[in-house]
This record gives sequence, C-alpha cells and structure tokens, in this order.
Amino acid sequence: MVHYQDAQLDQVFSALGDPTRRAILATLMQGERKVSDFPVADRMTLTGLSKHVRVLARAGLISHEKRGRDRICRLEPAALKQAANWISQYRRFWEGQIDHLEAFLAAEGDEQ
Amino acid sequence: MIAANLNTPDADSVVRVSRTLSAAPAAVFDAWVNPAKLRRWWAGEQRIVRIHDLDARVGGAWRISFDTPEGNHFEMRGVYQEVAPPQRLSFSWTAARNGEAGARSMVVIEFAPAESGTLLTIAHHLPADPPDAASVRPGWESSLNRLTRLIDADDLDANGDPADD
Repeated sequence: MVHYQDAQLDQVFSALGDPTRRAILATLMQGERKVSDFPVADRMTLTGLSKHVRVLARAGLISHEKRGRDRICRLEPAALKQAANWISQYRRFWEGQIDHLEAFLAAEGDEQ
Repeated sequence: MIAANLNTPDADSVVRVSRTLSAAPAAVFDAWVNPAKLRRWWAGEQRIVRIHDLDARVGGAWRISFDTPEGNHFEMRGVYQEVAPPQRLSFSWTAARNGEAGARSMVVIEFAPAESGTLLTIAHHLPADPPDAASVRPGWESSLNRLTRLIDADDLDANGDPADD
C-alpha cells in the first residue's frame, strides 16, 4: 500500500501548494463551514471555490456534504498530519533533488 | 534488498529514495562531487547555488547555500565519510534555514549499474528526535507546520482558539 500512500501524499502536497487552499484549511480549523461562508468567498467565484474544495477533498484533507442548497466542508486532520510528518518531508526533499539531478543529466547528455 | 526498502522509512528512521537514471554511474557520481555540475542541479535551474566548500575526499568538508524566491536562505553542510567512485558516497548532513540549523544526520548514496544507466539510492539516516522539518524544504512548509501545530493544539484543548496564531 506504499504506492497508494505516496500517491495520496502527492495529492496532499499539491493541494497544499496553493495559498487559497491553505486559507480554506485555516478557516476549517475553526470548525465546519459552508463554502459560501469562506472568508475567501468574496474575492472568488463559487465555481472557482468549488474547484479548490474538490482538490482538497480528493487529497483527503477535507470532507464535504451537500446540505440543502449549500455545501458544508469539514477538516480531515489525518492527511495533513501525515504530510507534516518530518520523514515525509525529507522524502519529498530527496525526490525533488533527484528530479533536479535527472533534468541536469538529460541536459548534459544533450550538450555532448 | 534495495528495492524492498524503496520509499519505506525503516524502524530507525531512514528515508530511502531510489530512481533509475539514464546516465552511467561515473557520470551520476561526478554530478555530486564536481562543483561546476553540482551547482547546476542542486537547487534546480531557477536558483543560484553557491558552493562554498566541496572537498570530496574522506574527512573533506562540503558546504552549499542558496536563496529561494520567497527570501529564505538555505545552507547545507557536512563532512565526507566515504568517497568511492563510482559506487558509493556518504557524508554527514546539517541543514540550516535562515541561520537556524537542524540536527546532524547522515546521507549514504549508492550508484548501482542498471540496464539503462544507474540505479541511484539515497538513504538519509535521521536522528531519533525530529529536527525542525522546515529546515529541509523551502517554501510553504512553515505554513504546513503551523497548520499542524494548530490541529495538535486543537486536539489538546477543545476550547482553544486556533485562529489566533
């Protein structure tokens, strides 16, 4: 199940890479909330916001359910804690380093 | 043996990552110990890397620094423990973010010949106590750590107000 976890972790990191989504998470720390009540809702369309909500949900960082005409979101802390695990961060660091190295070797091969 | 441990932290906190690269072991090894090469990939193409020391022999020192677009200064340094081209390279590791250094750890890199090039395996042996994880990766990690601390605080004290960070 390592591969599943890695894929999940990738989604978590990618979801966290966006400041709007981090702002949504910070909001949800205070408790569940309607999408239309997010503080970021006044400078963003509901469609744009829904897209961020879907990315966060797919990463397992939040859950959401339709209640009446609105959608209620709630934080799912487990995925965030796993991503914040320091070992995961080291792994991400080294995976990134190998990405850099791979790109360099490819460029070096082209030069020769 | 290597494949079995792929991407799985061992009980003694070893982070191990592997990948097959399409270059010969000697070329991959050289990219780690040749300053002109290391400078070009260590922090990606966008960032300017400064190689302060790179004395790739047993007991020799290495020290590298770079700045991120967000304005953070990262420095990594250590001492080579094993330099065996083109098979194995190991060095001690201390990373500092904006002058705050984390704990010392060990990195062991293996370069195994593979059908299409080199199987590179990096094993980072981490100390038992978690260092400040923010010192290893630039960017948004501090936000992530802050979020996690808030969650942890929330777990402990349901009446706390995590919004007031």
